[in-house]
Amino acid sequence: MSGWRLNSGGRLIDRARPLDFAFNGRPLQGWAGDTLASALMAQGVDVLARSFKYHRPRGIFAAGWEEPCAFVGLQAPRSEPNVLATTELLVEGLRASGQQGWPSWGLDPMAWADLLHRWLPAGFYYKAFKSPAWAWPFFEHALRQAAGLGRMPDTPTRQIGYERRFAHADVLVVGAGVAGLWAARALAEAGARVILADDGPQPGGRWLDRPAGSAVDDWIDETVRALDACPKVQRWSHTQVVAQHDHGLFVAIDRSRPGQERLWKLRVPHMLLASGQIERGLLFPDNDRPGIMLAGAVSSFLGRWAVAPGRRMVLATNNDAAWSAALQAHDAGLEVAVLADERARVDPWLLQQASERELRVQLGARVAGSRGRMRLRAVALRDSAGRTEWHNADLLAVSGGWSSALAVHAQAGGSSAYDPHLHGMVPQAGPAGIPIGAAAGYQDSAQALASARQGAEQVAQVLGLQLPPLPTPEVAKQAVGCSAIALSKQNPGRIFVDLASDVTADDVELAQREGYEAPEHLKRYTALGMGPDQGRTSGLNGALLMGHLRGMNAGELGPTRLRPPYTPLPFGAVAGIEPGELIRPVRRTPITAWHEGAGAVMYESGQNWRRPGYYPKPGESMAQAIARECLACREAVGLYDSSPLGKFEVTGPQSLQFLEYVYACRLADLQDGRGRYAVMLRDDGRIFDDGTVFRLAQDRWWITTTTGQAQAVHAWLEALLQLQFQGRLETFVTSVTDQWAALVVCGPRARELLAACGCSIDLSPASFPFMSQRNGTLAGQAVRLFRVSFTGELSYEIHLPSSDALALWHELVRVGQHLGLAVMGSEANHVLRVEKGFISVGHEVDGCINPFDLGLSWAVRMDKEAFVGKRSLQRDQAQPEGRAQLVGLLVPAGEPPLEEGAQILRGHQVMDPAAVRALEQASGGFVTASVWSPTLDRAVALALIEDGARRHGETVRVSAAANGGLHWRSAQVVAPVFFDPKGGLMRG
Amino acid sequence: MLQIPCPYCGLRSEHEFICTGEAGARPARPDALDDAAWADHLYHRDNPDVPVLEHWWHVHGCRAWLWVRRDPHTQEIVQASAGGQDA
Repeated sequence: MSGWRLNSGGRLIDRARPLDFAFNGRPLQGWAGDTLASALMAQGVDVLARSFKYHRPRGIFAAGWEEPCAFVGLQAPRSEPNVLATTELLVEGLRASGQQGWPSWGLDPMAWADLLHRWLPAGFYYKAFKSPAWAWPFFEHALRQAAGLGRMPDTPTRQIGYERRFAHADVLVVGAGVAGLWAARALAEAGARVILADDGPQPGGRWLDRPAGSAVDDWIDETVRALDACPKVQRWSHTQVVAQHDHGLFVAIDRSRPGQERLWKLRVPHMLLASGQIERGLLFPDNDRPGIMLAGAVSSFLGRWAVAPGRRMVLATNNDAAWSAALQAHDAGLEVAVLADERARVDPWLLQQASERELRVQLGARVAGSRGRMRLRAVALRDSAGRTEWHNADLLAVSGGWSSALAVHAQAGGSSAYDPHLHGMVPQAGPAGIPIGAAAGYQDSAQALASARQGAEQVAQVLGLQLPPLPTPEVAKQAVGCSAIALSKQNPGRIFVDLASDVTADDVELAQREGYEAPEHLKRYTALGMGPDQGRTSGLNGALLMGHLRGMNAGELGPTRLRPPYTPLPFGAVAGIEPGELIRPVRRTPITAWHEGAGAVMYESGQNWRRPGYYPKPGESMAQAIARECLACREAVGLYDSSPLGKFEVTGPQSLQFLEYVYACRLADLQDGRGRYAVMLRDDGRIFDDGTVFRLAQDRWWITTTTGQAQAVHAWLEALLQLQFQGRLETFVTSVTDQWAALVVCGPRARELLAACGCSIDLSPASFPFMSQRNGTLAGQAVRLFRVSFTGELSYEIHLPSSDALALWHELVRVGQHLGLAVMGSEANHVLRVEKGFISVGHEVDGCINPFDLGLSWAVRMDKEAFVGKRSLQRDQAQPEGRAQLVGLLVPAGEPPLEEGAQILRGHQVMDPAAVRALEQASGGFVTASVWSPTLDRAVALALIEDGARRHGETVRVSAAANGGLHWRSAQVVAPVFFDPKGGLMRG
Repeated sequence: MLQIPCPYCGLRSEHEFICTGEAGARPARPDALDDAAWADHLYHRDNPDVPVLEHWWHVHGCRAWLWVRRDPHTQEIVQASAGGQDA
């Protein structure tokens, strides 16, 4: 019970609006404007979390996004783990609890880890649990239970109110401290479009930490008014820039409505980085106790929320800037026991400030240790002569120096350098942005404003603008000295470098001894900087310590690479208003609604099409439905919606020349109204796609592609026309996939059905033979009829404008019911084509297969002068041995189908099912498609096996999964056609 | 996320494009190449750390195929031109 609320002050809180909330079930009260952390601190809550690895009690260490410890679980108003208490705005009814406590949060048996720390160094689990290898999964489960942060919410995210928006501007100013405000106003008044984004609730930056009422406050108010009056300015609070990507793309997150965040994507050519600095801690034993806090955070809690983080305070610092925390604490009524500075000499102005307040100052003194388990009780200070003195204190403000908050700059490759005066990283101006203010290394406000002017002028010059004269506030003197961070390790106790991941100085030394010396290796080996805080307060300390251990100068070893996002983003905000189904809109044929109404089980197929798989009747199983549909097609007539088929119209005087180049077959000999099955190859001779090519007229073609490849084929045809022929081949390719529907009528009574519907085309085989095309009307609709077959039956593919398709479908179903018609889904279509041995891209064609492998040499004319893939086929023909070739497989009658994808052994030796690893070497092929054939009343399969064409009659071993292991089934190799081998039915 | 200057549509986001990688001219007479030279054309790319010529298709725009010279180091788009004209 150390923290308390001051009676006055607090720039961000509204004392007229009390809010009730609860932490670990305990009812508490705060004010509007509080963060969860400030409200908890004001109510005297000391411990917010248990640490990641050792389960040590942890309190609040920082006041903003750099906080490494105070992660809590939120139960209301939303369910979310790992919420940062220092940035979560308090709302009425908020409920939060500590994470990492089991069975109850106060009693944490996992604290044994703290006592065993000697045996739990960095990387211990890699060493301790490595052998035997089989045991790792068990250890891993137990370790994950013990470590880790937070619990996943049980309910899905409420996807309401999230947004993703886009904005463009000339300049993005990141951070609305004095430097950011000055630059934004100067550029806006010069005429630039400016976005000023700040992650805090109100502008002012570090000035919000100080008591209100100075001249700078008036200047801030005036500047904000001027900015808000300027129509070219977008000023955002609660909005954090979290990423910079290539070509000036920035991502910002507006958190003003928690749980309904808005994601901004900004395209801005110029960025001014006014993001300020982040403080880091000191390295001494037991530096993680609740009550030990960054000096800047003490100022923040006092100035912003009027919360005193303790009653009796010690300040330990190595730099001038931190002194103001002690002065401010004293002025606010805290008892300041000692002001300890590691340096032997400091700015006399600071000493004068301290002596005016009669504060005890100890120069050349370091923290040697601390006491107090659930709250700090005492601090040991060691003076330069080596004498140690204990001071009672419940608050230790520490400051190990300041480093620029440069993530948004560094993500885009912006360089930075170690500043030997500031002892921190300072970014350098470049294409990734121009740092200004404290982010550029200027802690003194007058210098910060001067750098803001310089930065703004640089941007204005590129934009061709002139900066207007602007008022600049008078600021009091600020001292800015700092010394390098040093390790204080005379006393026992663990020195925590990274509080979030529980990485100690010993861990860093161990990493160095074991050769993980590079900062990136150090990070992976010890987890330093890998916590949810991304090492904001610890990364540089870790690198400096490693550099020291390696005998390098300070700053020679920089921190690890920073990657976006700067802070975690909710997935809901990334998804925006397009969650679930909306993120990938489905494509519907004109008939899709009918299929759904008819009770079809719908599949998603190639490029998000919704198409029917099968139409089960009441009481019918999947297998029964498929068998019924297949038999109806074989015995009467089937109707299939083939609309997703890729369709292109190719026109132009040189379209024949183009298509001859694209397809492997001959096309020049086709008469008008005739067509051909054709394969399209890639340059490497492998099959890319297949379909039919019909000649509508001398210079007019109608080609179909597979459903899944329609866009890839389109890209390829356009690439050839535009890049290779460079527009010299007068040919035009028009995608008409969506404009034309395709309905397939197939089966022995197909002709009868069309005639019964009323068809203007002479359907007699002599007049309208197989692989020809006619135009006419069917049931009153204008159609293009194609005699092609994918089922092996007499078959008509009806192409007609999509808008007319549903009416025709209704008519075909109505008339067909008297002829035994069944509507067929893609499952039946698959069974029928496997029976017939027709190939399907994606099954038999897997990117390694040429047409010869599939027995399609009749579809390749090697005597054509040139076509895509010919050169590679020449090589394949010269070396045909060992290629996978298409075969059929038969299992003994009555046995169930083989598994699609099952491996086929190269030899005949049956493998030990345990020797699964050897299977890779032993595999000589695989099952590409396997179905139960209702027509033949047995299981049939297609497969690709080595040299399969000359192995008909052999028996092969095929893998099958059983009881979590493997066993082997026998199958006979046969020709890849099981039904109507001569093709008389489809030609009839 | 790059911005590609399409000669027809202006500066457009990378979202609208498909990149098919390094642009190599397809040999005019593949028959004239031996197996090694043909394999080189099919499979070998230089992947240099200097501006490279690439093919980008403006699929969600004008559907023009572009020749784009991109510096993989800085991500700068040095030049972009449409189909016919080699950059």
